[in-house]
Amino acid sequence: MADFIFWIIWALIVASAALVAFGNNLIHSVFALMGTFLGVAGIYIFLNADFLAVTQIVVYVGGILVLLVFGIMLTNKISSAQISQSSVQKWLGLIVVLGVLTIILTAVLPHDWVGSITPMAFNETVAGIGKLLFTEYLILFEIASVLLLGALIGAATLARKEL
Amino acid sequence: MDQLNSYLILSAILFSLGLYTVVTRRNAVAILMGVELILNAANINFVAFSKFVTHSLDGHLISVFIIMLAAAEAAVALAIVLNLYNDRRHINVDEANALKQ
Amino acid sequence: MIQSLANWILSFDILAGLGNPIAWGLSLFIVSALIFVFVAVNAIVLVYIERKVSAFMQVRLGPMRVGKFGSLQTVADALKLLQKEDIIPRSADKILFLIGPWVILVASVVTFAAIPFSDTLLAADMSIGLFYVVSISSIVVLGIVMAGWASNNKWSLYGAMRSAAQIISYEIPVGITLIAVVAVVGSLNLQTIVQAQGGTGNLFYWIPLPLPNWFIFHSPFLFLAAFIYLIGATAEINRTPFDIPESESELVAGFMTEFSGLRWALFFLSEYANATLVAFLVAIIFLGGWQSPFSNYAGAQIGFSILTLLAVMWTLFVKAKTQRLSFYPLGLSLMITIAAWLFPGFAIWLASPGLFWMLIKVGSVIFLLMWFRWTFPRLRVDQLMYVSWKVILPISLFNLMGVAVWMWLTGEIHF
Repeated sequence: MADFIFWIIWALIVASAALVAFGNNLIHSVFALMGTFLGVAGIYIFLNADFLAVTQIVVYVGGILVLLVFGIMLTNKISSAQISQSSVQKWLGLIVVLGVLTIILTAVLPHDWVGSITPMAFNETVAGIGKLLFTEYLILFEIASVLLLGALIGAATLARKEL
Repeated sequence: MDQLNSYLILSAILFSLGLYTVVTRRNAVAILMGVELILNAANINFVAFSKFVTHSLDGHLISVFIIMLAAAEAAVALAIVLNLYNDRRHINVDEANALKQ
Repeated sequence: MIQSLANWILSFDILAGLGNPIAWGLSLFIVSALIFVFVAVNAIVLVYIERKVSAFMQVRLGPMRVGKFGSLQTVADALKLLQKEDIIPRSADKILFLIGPWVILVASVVTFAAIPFSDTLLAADMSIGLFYVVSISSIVVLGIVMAGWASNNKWSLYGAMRSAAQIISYEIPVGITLIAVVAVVGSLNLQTIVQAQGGTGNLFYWIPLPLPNWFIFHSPFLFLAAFIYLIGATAEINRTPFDIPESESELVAGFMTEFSGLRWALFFLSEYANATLVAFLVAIIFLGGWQSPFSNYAGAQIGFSILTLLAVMWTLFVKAKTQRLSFYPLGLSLMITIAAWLFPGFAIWLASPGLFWMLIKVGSVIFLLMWFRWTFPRLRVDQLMYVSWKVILPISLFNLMGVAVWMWLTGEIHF
């Protein structure tokens, strides 16, 4: 049962990501991206990363995706429910990307990862993540907050009418 | 489901699709979508390795920071895209080449 | 103690004969079906109550024809909606138009999985319950944008954009007020949050007024946080006075304009599911969830005696002045008080935690939301953004710091 759900989510991610990459309708691509994000959240749950799964949904689906939708609607002349998009150098891109995929898979799959025999299941990750965030990763955490503030101010400044 | 490889293959495919989007799309917002796909692929790898190989929460921490960076990146990038649109009335990146010699 | 509904269903002997994966899948299916049935029945009941409450506020009768006191009116309406033709506009984006309402419905139903209805009755006991509820309910925005865009109608699009901007703006202050509560409890688990509110204590730690240990009485900051949360949540579920995304007088029906029949009913279902969810969250986080307000049976007796006294005074001074004497509240509280003094068993039941108290609290909050609707006029778009970013957000940030200082003063945490 769990296996079955896993492979359904797996297929959902690949299918919706393919729609993002190959689709002709920009709006459909954005909403397909929602499927990818939700699917990745599901994958996190299979990896016992409950906190990350929820963070993924709240940041990607609730934040970034809505931002992208706004971006699309503000940068197009809306005349119908379709916003078409085009690609350039499709075949060249496909060849390069397939090459990259082959290289990654041939490099990664044969390797025998140490410890991969016994997967570890975390029962609860929130407390551990919180503890690490304020001890080992404290400097990173502070830098990240400064970066977010910088991004906030920068985005607000850039988006103003008179620059 | 209990094999590292199924996650690695998924992540590789997701990365490739994201890369394809970034390489071939003309629309700037679509390229941004490709970048998000790539970041998601990286995240899956981090979390999968933290479960199967390192058995620690460090991978989760890195993923949290990546998600946060993605949010900041999307906000700034969309501000830039809006400026591009105000300047050019389109956001096709292959035509935004005024800085070229 | 039963940890979750699924485990409880699995404990039946009938399921033991089936294979383990099948029984597991079946139990999950039953739990999901139960939650969906709860949401559907809840919406039908709430629509009726809302019409009756608005009639009461406007001194009229409301629905009276179908069934006794019009109690079957919403059932009849639902049947009518199911029979109506499902119209898809010719120039609409068909795929998105078809799945948009379902995205909204699923997102608002799935959140109930983490809600603890009583100390044993909950679908999933998650360590990240509160965060889960907040994050899943943020998917609703995308469904609304989907539906609004797919309609290919300017009113729909305006409504969707307004709704998205509004929900995203109010998510931030709401999140920060919730963080204040999480800081007090030290856990995101909704069940733990409720358990932390058991017993009786002083009002605001120092004022010697024996009140239940609910977080609304924990400190002045959390008292304020409860109201900020209620305001922000009202905005997030697009209810009046924050209903500009679907304001009838400006935008026809906002993002719902082009929808009819079943799909339109889905919007209503999810709208009432969201309102109930907010009521549940207010009850769980600030009003002690399934905890009883009384710590023992003597407390229940004395508490209801005080309530009866208040009802007597209210009847004497308020009702007598307005010339509209009604003895229902007085009679009800008097009956409960007499019963509590005569039968100790009843008083003990009143003092014990359970589903009853949860539903009472949720009902009160929902009534408050309906009261808002007929009390406050609708805000303008710029006023809405002003309230969110320049008033509520600074207050909630200040609140978060205040709660930390308060916990340090009362010795709950040490630095």
